[in-house]
Amino acid sequence: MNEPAGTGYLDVWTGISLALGLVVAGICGVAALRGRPPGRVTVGATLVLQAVLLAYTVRYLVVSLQGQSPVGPVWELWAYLVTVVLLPAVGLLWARDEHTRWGTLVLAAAAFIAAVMCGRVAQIWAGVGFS
Amino acid sequence: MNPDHRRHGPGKVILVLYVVFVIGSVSRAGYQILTRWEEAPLAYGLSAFAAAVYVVATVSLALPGDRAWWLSVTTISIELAGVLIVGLWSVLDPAAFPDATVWSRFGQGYLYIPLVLPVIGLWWLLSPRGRPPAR
Repeated sequence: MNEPAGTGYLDVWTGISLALGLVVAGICGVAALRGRPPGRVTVGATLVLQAVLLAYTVRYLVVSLQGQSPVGPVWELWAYLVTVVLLPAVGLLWARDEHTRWGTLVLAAAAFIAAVMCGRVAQIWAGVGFS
Repeated sequence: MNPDHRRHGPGKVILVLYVVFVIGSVSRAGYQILTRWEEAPLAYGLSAFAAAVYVVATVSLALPGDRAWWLSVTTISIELAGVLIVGLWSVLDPAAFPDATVWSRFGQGYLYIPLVLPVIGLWWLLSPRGRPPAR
């Protein structure tokens, strides 16, 4: 896969989700480095991210039902979107019985991967990297 | 010590990453093999192999006990060898890999996580907390 030439494929929804995912990953990453177990701030931030990613996925569902389709493969778009929308939830579920810094790092990892995958979703939609 | 401590602490973070790769590699391999097998059987066969390795590694990482530990060490070693061999192969002979696999170009399309993940996994399994309890 070649690196994309620019960032023109990024729509505003993807930009918001990607930026928020990175911010949440940063908050949780710092908290993990400071040895904090998952707490109000990190769990709250992940819940906000979950809500935004749910809206992000629903938007693709609506657009698809209206008849638009990605330039890249449809199966890949949905493989990414399903993973994206599940990641914060799975992170929260797994962090619940992990009252150490590692639980917080689980949240950071989930948010980071979700952010990157949102970027990939936009690439698949625009057909970046497919020829 | 708790016999299933391997899936706690750092092990839980590693498990999250492996689960993501299971979803990614299984869906990719499934799609490639079901729809375009004849285009590049080598690359798609390797995709399927990689997917199987990720599935076995993830399940064994989540299970307690000695046998699961050995299975994890074995599959993650195969994973590391796979990403190194396929990575090198795809760089030397790009024509054999017209479509990305998880391991081609050392996992470049996946932020090189496929290269880093088995190293972290083996470190964890061989570290004192990741080992099965001594008898």
